[in-house]
Amino acid sequence: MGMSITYTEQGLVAALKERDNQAFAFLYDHYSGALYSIIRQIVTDNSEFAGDVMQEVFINIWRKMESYDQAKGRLFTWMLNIARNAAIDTLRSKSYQNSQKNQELPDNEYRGASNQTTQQNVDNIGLKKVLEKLKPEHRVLVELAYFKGFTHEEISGMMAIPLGTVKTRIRNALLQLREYLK
Amino acid sequence: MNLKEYIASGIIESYVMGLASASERVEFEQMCAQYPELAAERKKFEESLEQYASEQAVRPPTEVKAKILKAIVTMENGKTEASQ
Repeated sequence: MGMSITYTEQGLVAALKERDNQAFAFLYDHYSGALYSIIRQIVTDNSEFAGDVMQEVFINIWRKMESYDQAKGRLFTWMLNIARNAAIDTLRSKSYQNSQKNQELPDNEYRGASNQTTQQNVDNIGLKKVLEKLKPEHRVLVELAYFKGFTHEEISGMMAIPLGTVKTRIRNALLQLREYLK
Repeated sequence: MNLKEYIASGIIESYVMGLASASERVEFEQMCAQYPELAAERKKFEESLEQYASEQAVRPPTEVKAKILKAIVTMENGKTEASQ
């Protein structure tokens, strides 16, 4: 990595809570790629928006650091949820939706082709890639819940599936995802 | 429900991935505090999720880092001035 300082998770959290800029730069260097990946899996069609979300996410991490509670989970889990929530908020924003309407080409592949040299193909990365291994009826529910941010109740209404079934299918799907992550 | 069934129900994955409801979250956090075995299972899943996410990293645009670091320095300076 070429870094002169390394941290344990404990040490990193302690330094961040003390508002240590160097620790924050380390945090960025180590986690920005994983967090940007999830942002791009949600905000799929516009990398400018994804860059803005990224800034918002790290500024929120810095701001909210004091409220991070290690008893509830790992630092990465906390940051991943901040990133996912911010990306979903952007997905639902007027400005993002307007930018979608203004896109001329309907197909992702064509849009991606124009700047292939600078951008990785993000159609098939991360959890999205694992999602493909699920049964279609499971995949669509995880897609709606995790990547689009709909509540179980909303999904139940949209898909005309009982709420209990939505919940059971999503949980089963996540258990399968877990197996594929290993 | 016994602990084994609870662990196998998918609640861990649902909680960690931010898909649990508010009441499920409260219950899960209480259960984790009460049963170290459950908290250990949660940690295991968190670690594999983190490992996978790191393997699937996508490099963000290079200018983003400088913008973020500048923003937090500005925020901190603002705070110091406000408190003086």
